[in-house]
Amino acid sequence: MQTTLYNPEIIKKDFPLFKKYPDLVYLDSAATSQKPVQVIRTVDEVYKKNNANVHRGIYSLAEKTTELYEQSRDSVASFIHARDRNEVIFTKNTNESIQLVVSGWAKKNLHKGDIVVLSEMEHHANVIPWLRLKEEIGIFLFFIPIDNDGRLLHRSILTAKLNIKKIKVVSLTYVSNVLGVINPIKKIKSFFSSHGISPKIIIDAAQAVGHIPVDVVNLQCDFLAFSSHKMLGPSGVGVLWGKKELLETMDPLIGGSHSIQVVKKESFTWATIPDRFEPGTPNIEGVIGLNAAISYLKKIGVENIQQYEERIAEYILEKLNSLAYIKLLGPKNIQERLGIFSFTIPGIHPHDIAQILDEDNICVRAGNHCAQILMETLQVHATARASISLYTTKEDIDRFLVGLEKVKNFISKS
Amino acid sequence: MQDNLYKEIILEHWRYPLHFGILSNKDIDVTEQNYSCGDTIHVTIKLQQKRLVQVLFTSESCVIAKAYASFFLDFIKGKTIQEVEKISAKDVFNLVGAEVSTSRVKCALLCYNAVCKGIREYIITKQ
Ligand SMILES: Cc1ncc(COP(=O)(O)O)c(C=O)c1O
Repeated sequence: MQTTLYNPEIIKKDFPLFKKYPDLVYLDSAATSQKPVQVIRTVDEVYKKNNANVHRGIYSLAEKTTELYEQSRDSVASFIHARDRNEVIFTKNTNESIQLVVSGWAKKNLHKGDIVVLSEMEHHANVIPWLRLKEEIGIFLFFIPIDNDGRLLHRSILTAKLNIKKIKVVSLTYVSNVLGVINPIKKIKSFFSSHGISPKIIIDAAQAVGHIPVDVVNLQCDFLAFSSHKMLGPSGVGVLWGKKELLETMDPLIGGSHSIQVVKKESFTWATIPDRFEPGTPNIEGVIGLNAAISYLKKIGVENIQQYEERIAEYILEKLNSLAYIKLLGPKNIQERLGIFSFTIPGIHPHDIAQILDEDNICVRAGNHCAQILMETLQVHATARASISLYTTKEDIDRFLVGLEKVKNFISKS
Repeated sequence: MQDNLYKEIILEHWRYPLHFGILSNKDIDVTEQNYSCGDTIHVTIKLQQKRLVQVLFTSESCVIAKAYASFFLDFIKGKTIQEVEKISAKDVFNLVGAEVSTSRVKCALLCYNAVCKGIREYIITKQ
């Protein structure tokens, strides 16, 4: 499909919420995306036609449900280019996926004094599990600082008086949910290799999947986490992808049904992956709905989505850069970023920016975006954030820009 | 959507807040933070015979938090600790009479929460 055929107006028609609120300018897709009718219908049909518990029944209805559930695993695996479908674990969300790696793998394999490298732009989902592990076993956390445009300054590790041989893990966000910056994961990995160390690479891909092609083999990572709800799928479903040989040595977060093989009064044995990590009845309709979201993204083509979103992002970038009253965060260069724009307007609080925009049905997020460490680095309390998705139109952006003028007038009146 | 959240009276209190500043001679000195957004308020209070004779605040906050602080401090100035303790969150909303959306409740109550905390701490340390 050519990008010239990409018609956001037609795509928008697939999203019932925009039919309900034709006047809505939704610029908070980084928080959660809207859902196309194809996903909603799929979830609906699970209840209406395919509802049984998975992995249990012998009867054909249950077999059908299980089949649909497991097809979603195949679909996720192929979407992120996993070599083995069993490397795909369904969790609740990105938070849980990262916690699973920290509790299941890191806690077992790291020792006091080992170094885990994070960055100053991490979402709390990729901070809190590590801070807890630090309290528990005494690992050391190094936060890669950023430059003025939000680029990682990973070379600073060399001057940080660290024994770099102790670096066992590098856990980074692929795309920052605040700055929009795309982190050069492969470059960072080869930087470490060139210094003779090969830490495990964990990627928080919550803001990347569905917006740019994500290929776990090409990224050369060990674990990758993301959420269905940010990529047009239902909420309550996340994915952890991990290398098979690592997953096979890991402990699950929860012990219970389905995740085990033999249970005796004295002992039990774990099931193989991925079942080991999916105890109890999962979010069946959510997982099946995620498959519908992936089909939808694939039908349009992630490359096409990427190109289209880049065009819209470029337009926003150019406009925001030209407005003297806006302080835009993150890279000024479109090649280094995606369509997530955090900004401040001196003299007016981000909450008020969001509220004034809301008066014209424009949804942006305001706050610290679960990135308090980054807020401290940037020396701001909070920012306003506009983020796009495949259904965002140029008209949405124009309405947003008019809204910003209103915000500006609001302060100049004051 | 709130049509009247930024009504003129609120904007007036935001632009020209009453009781803005820091007391050097004070009995209560309290800061409170809204953890969901990081906004902070600093309230200082001078007491005389258990009466709040002087009240001042400074804040790093949005229109709502600042305006409500202005309203609230003006309301409690001159009242006794006992009287202030009886004030409920609902009273604070009634005071201003604007509709506050759920997401802004914490902003509107930032000063109120700070004062409650300050009085609690004062009572504990004085007993
Ligand atoms: C970069 C990043 N990581 C992690 C998360 C957490 O995702 P979830 O709330 O689905 O666990 C988010 C979502 O806000 C995010 O943007």
